[in-house]
Amino acid sequence: MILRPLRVACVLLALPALAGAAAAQDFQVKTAVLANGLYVAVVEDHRAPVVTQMVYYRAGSADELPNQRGVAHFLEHMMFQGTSTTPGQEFRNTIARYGGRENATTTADTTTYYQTVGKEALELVMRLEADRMHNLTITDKEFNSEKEVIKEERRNRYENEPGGLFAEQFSAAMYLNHPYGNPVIGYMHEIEALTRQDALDWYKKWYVPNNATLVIAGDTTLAEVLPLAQKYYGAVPRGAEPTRFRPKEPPHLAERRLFFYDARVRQPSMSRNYLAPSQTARDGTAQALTILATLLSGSTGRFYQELSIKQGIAQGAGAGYSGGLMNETTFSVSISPRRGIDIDVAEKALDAEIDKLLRDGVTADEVELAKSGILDGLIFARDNVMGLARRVGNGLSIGLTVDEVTHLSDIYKSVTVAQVNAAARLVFDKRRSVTGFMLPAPAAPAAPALRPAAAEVRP
Amino acid sequence: MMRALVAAAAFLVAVAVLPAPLAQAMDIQRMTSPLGVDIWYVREPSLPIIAANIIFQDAGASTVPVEKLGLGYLVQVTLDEGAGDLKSYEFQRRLDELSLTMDFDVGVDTFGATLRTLTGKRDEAFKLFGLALSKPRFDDDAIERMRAAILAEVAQRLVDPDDIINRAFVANLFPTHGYGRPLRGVPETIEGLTRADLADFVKTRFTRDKLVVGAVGDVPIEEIARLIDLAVGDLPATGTAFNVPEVRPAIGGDITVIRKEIPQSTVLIGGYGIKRDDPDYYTASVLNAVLGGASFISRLWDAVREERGLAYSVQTSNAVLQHGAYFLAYVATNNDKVGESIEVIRNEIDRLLRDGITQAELDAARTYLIGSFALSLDTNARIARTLVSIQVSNLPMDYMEHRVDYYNAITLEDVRRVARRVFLGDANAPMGPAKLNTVVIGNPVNITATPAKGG
Repeated sequence: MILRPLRVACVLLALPALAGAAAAQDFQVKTAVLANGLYVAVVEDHRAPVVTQMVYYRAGSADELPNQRGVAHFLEHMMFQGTSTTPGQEFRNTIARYGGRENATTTADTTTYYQTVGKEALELVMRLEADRMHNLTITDKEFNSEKEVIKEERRNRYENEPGGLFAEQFSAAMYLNHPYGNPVIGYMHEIEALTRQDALDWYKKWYVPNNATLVIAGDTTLAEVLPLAQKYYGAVPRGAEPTRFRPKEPPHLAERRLFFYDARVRQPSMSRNYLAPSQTARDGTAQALTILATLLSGSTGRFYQELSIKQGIAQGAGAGYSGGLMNETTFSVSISPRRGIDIDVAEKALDAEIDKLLRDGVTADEVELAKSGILDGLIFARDNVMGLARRVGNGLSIGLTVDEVTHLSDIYKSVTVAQVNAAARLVFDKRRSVTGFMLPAPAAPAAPALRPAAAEVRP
Repeated sequence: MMRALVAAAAFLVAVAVLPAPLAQAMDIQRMTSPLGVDIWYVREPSLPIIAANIIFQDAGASTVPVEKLGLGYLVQVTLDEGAGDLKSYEFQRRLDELSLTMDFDVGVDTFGATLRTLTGKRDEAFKLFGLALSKPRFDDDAIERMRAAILAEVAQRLVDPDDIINRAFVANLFPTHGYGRPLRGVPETIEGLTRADLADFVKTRFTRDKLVVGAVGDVPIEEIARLIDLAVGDLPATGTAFNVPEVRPAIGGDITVIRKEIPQSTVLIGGYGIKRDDPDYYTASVLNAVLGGASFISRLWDAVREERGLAYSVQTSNAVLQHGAYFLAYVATNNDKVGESIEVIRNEIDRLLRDGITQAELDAARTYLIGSFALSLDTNARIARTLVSIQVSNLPMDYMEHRVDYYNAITLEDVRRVARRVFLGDANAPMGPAKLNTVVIGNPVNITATPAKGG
């Protein structure tokens, strides 16, 4: 058994002596690496005798080849269909018998499996999760049946939801070259074309311990977890090192505009995404952008105060930024006009706010208020250990270090007004943006009566 | 602080090779505040956070007359738009400065409020909370802004298939009761609400006799009592009794189809439910878990999703309200599979009525229900909400320790009897096909609606 504690682990053990010193941790993580390359991280929380296990594979839809789109998510479904040692639904049945919660998520960058159980079932879930890391079986019957389920899932999220269809078209227009523009679930014709062999190939390539991170959070310790990790996950052989290839975006030179019409849309809205660096840029820009989005949003934010309260133009207006992606992400702004206000008027008013911000900059007061809210938010985050586990798992999977994931408050404290203004100038470039309008179809049918007069209603 | 309980021996037999499922109790403290408020509290010293949940009973949307539909919702969104001397912006700014989260939520039966603050900022936080509850400004400009926002939201909901079917479903089950009406109101009633209506809603419902309190924090309970008094001290002692009547869903076995040109249909199937204070409540939970409530191990999950690939999601629940309850099954499926999906669900329900469940299913549902409840108490805010719901359900303080006993007492015969209550309406009803109402939205193939009942 070869366990190589990382530098980070040693730093953490030394920390109690440093308590109160300048470099403050938001929360503690202890780590180790198994001989087969599996990275192990433990976040302790002893409030209740409960543990959460999460396994992050560094493989998501953005790692798919063009002829296998949708396979990352498809395989996630197949991982619940049984292994050579735990057939059929035995995995789910066993966990449900404990009242455990479990599920999985596929994103552009990661595929994640998780279970929350009473602590006495920790060994059981570790055994089961390690088992399906290398013993998965996929039959044609299960594969074909699951394909129908996934098509229903897609209809549920996209074909049946105008907002879903709009978001899909909007993302596709954002990226000129990078696969972040593709829907994680795949387009309908791509799901249809996937084969059992595609799923097996994906599993063989990416589902190896040296491409995974195990995060255990809750009422346990690294000392308890390591022997179990070694016993179950240690038995999974190291695989060939999979390489992630991510195409880079070329320079964006032309602003793009989309007009999406649907009879089900009643409230017109405009959204604009700008290409923006993610946390992996490591230069503080991600934190500056989080502060920028915060001071623009919410009831006291610039957009709502100016566009809704003062000018009376907007029903709602805000900004958003999600920095937790591996490659270039987006900074978004949006507005929906009040009744009787034209969407073009709303867009112009929003643009004027952005121009003003670029001209005059943000104020120290705005930055301080946003920062204190974000810093307090990091304390509130400790109330949700699964949220912390997710931060660790996702952060490590996109290439951040444990230090970077656990020392966010230090970075936020250090961000200056000048940095926020520089980040605003960096992202607010229309040539690097897509503006999307979600609008009612010109010939929208009238809204149906609240209660059907007859049992059969045709609008 | 939470403690593990020793699980009852019966489980160890039920799941022989596996370790005992978690049973867990919280160390609940209780005291009456100087102002006479009954406070339930769990002390959690490891985090510098205080979470409080308060609700006013007999204060929800069903207490509002039909011509003022949506009043509770307008109050909900306008409460943090200024209070006392603080106008909208100043109030919101204060919330930001304190990092104070204050949420209001009108339900059909109750009006709820939650607060989450850092312990270091607690005094200001609870004062501001109290100001919002007892001295909301309801300035005209704030009301008009919120009214416009709600009208836009409701206009969108009126054409959203999920929302249309939800409204049609509750109207179908509760045609003459407040439970059948849209909580957010309809444009005509929302347009007519006045500042006086809002003030009256608060005066008659935000009163100390309707108050239920649960909190989690790292300070002694005496300190929580002081803070709660700070927040509710200015509320009137008593409010209006609204006497919302008890109601049973109107199950006539009809099928309603709402035609929409969308690729996937949504189906809701309704039946009788079992109320929280009914001795059969725990048995109904088991019945529901086996049929479709414990999704991954339920019969419908297997029959609809795993065996036939008909749907991404299929779920059932025993929906409990203060004055009634109903059974609900949900499935969303391609238009050409609606008929098959409904048939599979109905067949499973009829089979359950006819043959009951197996001992293995009863054991699995029991351990699932016991374990999943304990695991859901994972944040301070959730624990505070649970403290409130135990009180609203009139359960004793040691309820969590006894939950296990309630489930262990259930027999297979109990499940058969309760299946008749849920799917036939009466434990002594003659056996026959289940009585269920079905509502479909979409463009389903080969589905015929029953003739309208009129009205």
